[in-house]
Order: sequence, then structure tokens, then C-alpha cells
Amino acid sequence: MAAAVPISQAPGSGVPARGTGRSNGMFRPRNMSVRRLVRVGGTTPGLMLTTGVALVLISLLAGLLAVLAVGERADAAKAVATGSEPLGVKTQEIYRALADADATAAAGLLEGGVESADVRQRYQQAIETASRTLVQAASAGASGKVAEQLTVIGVQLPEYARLVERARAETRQGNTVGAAYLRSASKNVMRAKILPAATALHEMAEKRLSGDHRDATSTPWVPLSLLLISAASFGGALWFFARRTHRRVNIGLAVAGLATLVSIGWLWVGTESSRTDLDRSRSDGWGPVETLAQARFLTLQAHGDESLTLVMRGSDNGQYQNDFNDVWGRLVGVPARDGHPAVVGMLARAEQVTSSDPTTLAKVRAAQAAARDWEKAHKDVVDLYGDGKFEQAVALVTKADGASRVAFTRIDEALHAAVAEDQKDFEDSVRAGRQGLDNLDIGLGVLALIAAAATVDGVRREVGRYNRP
Amino acid sequence: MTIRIVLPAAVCALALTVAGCGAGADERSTRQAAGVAAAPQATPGPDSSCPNVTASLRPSGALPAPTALPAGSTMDTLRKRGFLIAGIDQSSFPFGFVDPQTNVLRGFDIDLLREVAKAIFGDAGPTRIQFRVVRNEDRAIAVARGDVDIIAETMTINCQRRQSVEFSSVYFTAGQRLLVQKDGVADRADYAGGLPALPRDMRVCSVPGSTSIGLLRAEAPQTKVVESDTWAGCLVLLQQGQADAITTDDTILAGLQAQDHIFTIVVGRNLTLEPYGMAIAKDRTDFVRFVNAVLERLRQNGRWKELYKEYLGTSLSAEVPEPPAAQYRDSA
Repeated sequence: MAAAVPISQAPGSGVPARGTGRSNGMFRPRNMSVRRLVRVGGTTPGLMLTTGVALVLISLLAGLLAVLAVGERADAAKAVATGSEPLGVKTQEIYRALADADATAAAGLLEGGVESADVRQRYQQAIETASRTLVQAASAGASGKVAEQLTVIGVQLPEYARLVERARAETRQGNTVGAAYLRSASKNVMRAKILPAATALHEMAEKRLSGDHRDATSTPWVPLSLLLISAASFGGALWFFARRTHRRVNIGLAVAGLATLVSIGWLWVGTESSRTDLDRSRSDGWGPVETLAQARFLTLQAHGDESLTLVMRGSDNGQYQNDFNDVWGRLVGVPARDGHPAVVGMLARAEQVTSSDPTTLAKVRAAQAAARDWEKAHKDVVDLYGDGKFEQAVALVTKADGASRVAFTRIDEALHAAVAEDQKDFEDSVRAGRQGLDNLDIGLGVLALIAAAATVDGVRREVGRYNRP
Repeated sequence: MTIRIVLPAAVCALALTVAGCGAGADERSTRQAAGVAAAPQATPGPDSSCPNVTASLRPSGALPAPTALPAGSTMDTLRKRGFLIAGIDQSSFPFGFVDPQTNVLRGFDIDLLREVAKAIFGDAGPTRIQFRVVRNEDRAIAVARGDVDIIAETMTINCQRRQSVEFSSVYFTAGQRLLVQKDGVADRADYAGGLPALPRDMRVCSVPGSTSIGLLRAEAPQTKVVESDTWAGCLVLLQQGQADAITTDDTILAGLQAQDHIFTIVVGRNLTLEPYGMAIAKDRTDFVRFVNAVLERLRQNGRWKELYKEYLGTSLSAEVPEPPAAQYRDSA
């Protein structure tokens, strides 16, 4: 210890003994004027003090930023789990229910004035689900453009239901104009106004989800770099203190440096593992859910088109048959021909995105098998219709054991199960991702305080030695 | 108010659907003398770009019994095959349509085909006719190509179609008219003047691409044309208050009127004349003569009037009109 004194009493100094004489060993920056501080700064204890102050500031700042960054990510992950994902699910459900209503209304009308109980029920359930989900989405604090689209659907849905009821009433009286009412409902209201609004709504929800996901998974570079600088500074300070004192390692600074290193490791591992989980929620959860849901929407539209083709009885000039072919191409894919590139079907895409998940994949495969059966059944429907065997054609589409309806139901149920499966995967992964961030902010805060306190203590002890008489 | 148009008796027989045909001769002359509703334009006739477009091949004698069909004839071939292939439309209420309650094919055209089948096979069981839904634009080609044996699909006989197919005698005469809502401003207007006399800004619904909308645009530029892609769609617009009138062939209007029979009415005189015939391949002249014999029998035994009553009822006129008289030629 005695060896330290000559070094510290460098030429032009000699202040420390005076300056801290009455401070009975306490480090009191408040008592120093700026001029004194500058003068003091030139001495070894002065340099130590300055370094200590800088280290405390930097480690507190790094800690604060780390805490804030973790908080931000946790909030974003919470938004994914409790805000944007439920909204995405709701908007998906709204769309599905609406498309289901459209398809089922057409199938119902095909059965003549009095549709079978299960078809009637399915239609009513679809309308009810859409209305209920709509109200839920609206009361969940929708604003701006979301509220706008919700309003469009809310206003048009009763109009749609009114036209469908009229279609039914006319058909019950044997009036063929019932088909025209249904077409008006489907074409002018459902497909022209309601479904586009539902699509826009879902796109907004999807965008919000992507944004929240991005916020929750971005690497916290700023606090990480500050922590790294802070750790490096502790390293430098340790070296400096050791040089000036010919002493061993300063325990306080070593503890502070260690705390900083732990912070870096914890922040990195915590956010990275959370990111991995959240990314998996996207790759194995939401991504496949979206693809599967799209496939389901196409299935519903094809079912609606098949029924509407029959409802229109040719007066649509093949419009719904063309629409069916188009939708079918998007569902099962179209091989390349006549210079048109091949279209990858939504079911094939669903197969790709679920390939790592055997449970879901099995369901997608079941849907694909059902699609092949439906294709055959639909050909029979078209042939029967073309031969004027209307009753038989309708039976294939509407009867509980009709080949076309059976195949449609199989696809729909398989995709529904697959969506539910991946939705669960999504929620599990998000939960895991959020758990990765749990307590991380508190831990980082505590570590920063430890680093600061240890620094203060370490520097105080070192500087204190100069004040001893 | 019903608009009554007074026409000479001869035209009355041809243009069956014109209101006023049921009126007695005395009443008619009285009205004519009083100058009531004298049509300013000549009654339109069939396509005159070729001679005698509606004259079909004369039946060769009385209709033979199904068991006595001439050997080697088309009818004999069909009888041996066991069924007739007929081109139809399922969306032309009340001529060819699927009964929305039973999903069974019905209509004026459909029943005429059943009569033809009965004449060939002795019965018109469900297996005797294979119906094929043929789109309007494919009708002539489907017959000419032999995809179907016969077409009964509200097909107007004209010179262009006569070049590729043979037609039966006229079995129905349609014409473009107007359907309006009763008890509105629309039904109090005067429709004697045809399209040019329609009220300014009247919203008239028609289907784009139809000959009816062409005539409407050409003759009634003062009206507001409302478009719908089907005729039933026009009725929806009328019922929802988005159109005041619909104009097309009275056969279609009759179908629409029957579905809203209390509140709508078909008004005005025939603006066009559309003689319907069944289309048969040109090389099957024996079948054309046979079908004409069937039609002749339906005209005479009252079956035609029964069909009219069943499918058109009182939509176009209070009483069932006389069937259109056949015009014949002897050689192809």
C-alpha cells in the first residue's frame, strides 16, 4: 500500500490529502468545485473517481435501456398473444362464417323452399357466428380503418340476410325469382361488399400481427452494445486500477464487470430464445394457419359456386361454373400450359408449410384426398346437369350422402381440424416466447444496480486508501 | 288500367298474346270507330329478309301410330334407340324451367317435347327423353352437328338460322312488350305509342346483349336504361323499387308476371314478332313433317290450349288465345 503513494503523488498534484482530508474516507463529489475536479482528475485517485463515475453512469444507462428494451418486447409479445392474434383469429372467423353463410344459403335454396334442418342450422349458425364475432371485434376497441370495415359488414349483413330470406320465401311459393334474389344477395352484397371488407379487415389484423411480432423479436442491439461497452470499460478499469495500485484485482469492479457480463448473456439468451419461440409460432403456427384458412375459404367458395351454378340453372351464362373452375385451380393447382406458368394450389402449399408437423400434415393429406373425390363428384354434377337430370345433380350437392357434399364436408372438417391444431401450436409457442422474457427486465435492472453499487464500493475502497494518514 | 290495342282479327290470331284479342268483334269496331288506341306504327312481322321464313314442311298425311312408323325413317331409328335427345333451357320460365319446389323439369317447351316423344314411343316416360341443356348461342350448331335430335328452347325462327337448321311450324308467337308495377305511376302511362312514347326518365330494366335492350336504346333514348344480367334480376329490381318497367319478349314477361301476379301487369302492344319453332337437322325432313303433324294434332285436340293455360295462364291475356296457324311449304 505504501508503494502506491509515490505514484499517486505525481508532479503538480499533492491535492488528495487536502481535498479529502475531512471526508473521513467518504467519496463526496458534491464538495468539489469544477475547477477542483479538473485538478483532482489529473491525480490517480482523481482518475479513479472519474472512471468510477463514468462506469456507474454507463452501467446504469445500459441497464435502463436493457430493461426498457425487454419491456418493449414483452409488451409486443403480449400484444401478439392478447391483441393482434385474437383479432386475427376473429377476422379469420368472420370471413369463414360469412363465406359459409354464402355457400350454405345457396345449397339451402337448391333443396326447394324447405331446406333440410342441418343446412338451415348451418346457415343460421354462420350468420350468428359472424354477427357475434363482429360485435366482439368491435367492442375490443376497434378504431380507424378497422372500425370502418366492421361497420361496412355490420350494415350490409342484415341486408344480405333480408335478401336471402326473400329468396327463400319466393322459392317456397314456387317462384323462380327466388334464385335471382339469392344471386343478388350473393353477388351484389356478399361478394361485392361484405367479403371484401372482411378481407381488408383480416389483412389489417395480419399486418398488425406481423408488426407486433417484429417488435417482439427484434434483437436489442442498443442495450447490448452499451452493455458490451460497459463490460469492456470494466475490463479497462480493472486493468488501470491494477496498474496504478500494483495490487490485485479490485473486487468491486470485478463484481460489476461480472454482473455486466451476466446481463449480456441473459439479455442475449433471453431475447434469442424468446425470438426462437415466437418465430416458431409464426413458421409452425400462424403461417400454416393462414394458408390452411385460405384453403378453407376457397373450399367454401367452390361449394357456394357449385350450388349457385345449379340455382341459376344456366341463366348466369356459366359464370358460376367459370368461377368454380377458377377457385378450384387456386385450391388444387393448375399445371403449366399454353405459356401460362403452373399455379401451386393452396392445398399443396398447406402441405409444404405443415410438412414438419405430422399431426397437421395428416389432416392436410385427408383434405387433399377429399378434394380428389370432390373433383370426380363435381364432374358428375356437371354431367347430370347438362343432361337435364337436375334432381340427381342437386342430390349430389345437397343430400347428406351426396358425393359432392360428402367430399366438401370432409375437406372442410379436415382443414378446420388442421387450423385448430396449428392455432394451438401458435398459442403454445407464443406462451413459451413470453415466458422467455419473464423476469428478464427485473433481473437486468437488479444486475445493473449491482454493477453500479459494486463500482461505487470498489472505487470508494481504492480512493479511500489515499485519504489514510 | 289495362291498355287495349285494337287489331284486325287476322293479326289477332297470329299475335296471340296481345291484350284485346278476346274482345268481341262489335266492341272492337266500336272502339276502332272511336279512334281508341289506334296503333301509330305497323304491327311488326317475322323476319322478311328471306321469303316465307315461317313456312315449314307440310305433314305427310295423318300422324302415324307409334307402332306404324315408316320403316327406315328418323322416327323409326329413334324408336329403336329408345329415347329422344332434346336440347332445352332450364332457366326460361315458363317455357323450360326446373320447378323450384320439386326440382323437376317443366314448361311449355318441355311438354311439347313430351308430346313428340309420346308420338314416337307411345309413352312419355322419364327415360324417353334425354334432356341436354344447350346454351342459347349454341342452339343451331347443336342441332346441325347432331348433338341433339331436336331443340325446343324459345327459339325464334329467322332467316339466318334457317340456313343451318330446319324449323317446325310456328308453335308460339311471342313479341317484345313491357311489364310494369300496378298501382304506380308506370301503369297509368299510355303504352299505345310503343317505346318512343314511354315517359321521360322512366327506369326500364333489360338484359345487356339481348335484342330487347337494343330496341329499347334505339327507340326510347328518353328513358333510363337499368341493366341486370338476368330477367329475374330485373324483377328483383322492379320489386325493390329500383326499376319502373321491364321490357323483353312477352313469354319471359309472362313468367315474371306469374311470380308477382297481383302487383305487376304486362302492357302495350307487341313491339316485335318472335315466331317460335322447334329446330331439327336439315337432313331429317321426315322428322320435321312428323313433328308438324304432332303440332297440328295439338292445335286441333285442344292440348295446345291446355298447355297455354297451364304455363301462361292469364299473364298475357284474360283468355286463352287460339294457337298460331301453321304455314306450310311442300318441298325442302
